[in-house]
This record gives sequence, structure tokens and C-alpha cells, in this order.
Amino acid sequence: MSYSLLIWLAKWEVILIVGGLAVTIALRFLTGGINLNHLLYGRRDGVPYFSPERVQLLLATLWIAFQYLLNAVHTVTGQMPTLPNGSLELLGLSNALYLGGKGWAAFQSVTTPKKEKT
Amino acid sequence: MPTPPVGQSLALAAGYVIVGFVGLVGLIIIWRIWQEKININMLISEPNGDASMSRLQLLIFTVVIAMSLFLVIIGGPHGPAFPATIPDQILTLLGISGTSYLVSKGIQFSDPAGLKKAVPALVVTPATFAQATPADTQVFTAAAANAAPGAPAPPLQWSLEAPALGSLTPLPPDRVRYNPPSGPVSAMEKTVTLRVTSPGFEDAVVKITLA
Repeated sequence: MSYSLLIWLAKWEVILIVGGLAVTIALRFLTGGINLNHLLYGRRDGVPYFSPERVQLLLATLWIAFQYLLNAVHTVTGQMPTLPNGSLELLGLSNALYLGGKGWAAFQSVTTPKKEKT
Repeated sequence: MPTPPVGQSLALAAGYVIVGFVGLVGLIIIWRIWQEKININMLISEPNGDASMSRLQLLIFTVVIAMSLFLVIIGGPHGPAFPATIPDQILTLLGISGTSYLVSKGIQFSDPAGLKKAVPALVVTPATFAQATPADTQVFTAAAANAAPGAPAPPLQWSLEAPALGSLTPLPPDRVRYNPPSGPVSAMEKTVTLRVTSPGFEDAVVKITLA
């Protein structure tokens, strides 16, 4: 029973757990085991509508995640990799657009019935 | 052979206990997910049954950063070691994502429609039909929305509401053809209502406008 064995065990344990969870979630996404209904749709007055702001958020998220993972694979310094330049600005802007679109749809849903009643 | 100090032996034993416990808990969770005893169907869904982009974003970043951290730890130049610092960029990234999720929840709670629980319902396409000529027929298709995953297709009952002008030709399992009335119809009876029902599902209604 030594430290080297403990480190080896911990390494394979994390590979099994993190990898197992990632594979499980990815498989469920692909086989429909995780609900993705209306992922790219918003709701206005309860009615679904296609939402471009969700599409751009999905693309920005996937691009940043992919770039970061690529940096992590190639890192040899023992330090966490950094994000490509402009990534945070892109993410912030993308999220702001998404929230703006969602907020606008919610605002319309809340105000429209009042107008009809008067 | 020199014996290790007591403190070192205790640390080693504690390490094995922690690794064993965490591994056991992790494997039980994964095993129960595969056994469907832990249901992750609604992992990124809102209460109304729609999938949420902000939840998906938070999930993607969490998994990616966890995997990156692991790669960095095991790939250290002097053996496995936790990185000395976590870059501010990463914390900001998670902060933006988490804040976006919280604001998104706030917006959702401001609209009562966004909180309604999803109920199984039937959906018919096309949702409306207007005849161009009196002889036009139309095929309607019904689908189940918000049904349990893997559930069999529900049995459908199609009907015309009074005044039941025209007739229906069932096209199993999920379609029906509307045949218009052969004779002339009065101006007051230009609208026909088609309804589809199934036990455990909300009805769907289609308005048909006759020529």
C-alpha cells in the first residue's frame, strides 16, 4: 500500500466517474433520453416560436467549450489553460442577447392580455 | 527497512478511505442512472417541459472545466498536482454562465405561463384548414406532446362537433381525412370543429373553414 498506488487508483476513479457521467449524458442526448424539446424555441403567450438568440448562444457556447478543451489537452505546464482572446466578451454579449430576447418575449406575454382586456 | 511515521500511515489510510468512498458513491450514481432509478430526462428542462439553453450552457461548461482540471492535474510536469491558481478567466466564465441562468430563471418567474407544468397533450397538424374549393379534402396528423419518454403512441378518437358537417376517414395509426359535405352549406355553418381525444391527454381541436 503506497502513495503511488493511491494516485493510480484516484486517477482511474476520476476517469471512470467523470468519463462515465459524460458518456452517459452524451448518449442520453443522442438517444432522446434527455428532453431537448423546444431547446431553440422561446414562448410568447405560451406559444412556441423559433428563437435565433438561442441558436447563437448554443454556437458561442460550443465554440468556447471546444477551444478550452483543446487548450487543456495541449497544456504541459501544470497550470489551468486560459481562454482564447475575446472569448469572455463573446460569451457576455451572447448571453446578453439571449436574455434580452427572453425578457422581451416575457414582457410581451405579460402586457398583451392587459391590452386586450381594455 | 525503516517503518513510516504514524502520521504518514494515517494520511495514507485516510486517502484510501476517501478514494474508496468517492468511487463507490460515483459508481452507484452512474449505475442507478443506467438502471433508470435516477431519472435525468428533465436534466436541462424547465417546469413547463421545454429544454433550457442556460441550463445546457452551465452543464457544458461544468463538464468541460471539470475534465480540463483533471487533465491538468494528471498531466503535471512533476507528477499529479493541483494547479497553483485557477485563472480569473475561468471564474468569470462560470460567473457569466451562472448569472445568465439565474437571470433567466428570474425572467421565467415573471411570466406565469413559464411556470405551468407540462401536461401530456395532443397536437394536430395542420392546426387550421380553409377550403379553397368545396371539394377539397384534408389529411390531419395527431402527435402526443409531453408524453413520458418511450411511451407507446396513444389510441386516438377523432370526431366532428355539432353541426357535424362532412365526414371523417380514419387513416391509422395517427391520421384522419376530412371529407367535406356533398351538399351546399349555409353561411352560418361555414366553420367545422374537428376534435381528437385520447385518455390521459389534453384534447386537440382544429377549425375547418368551408368554402
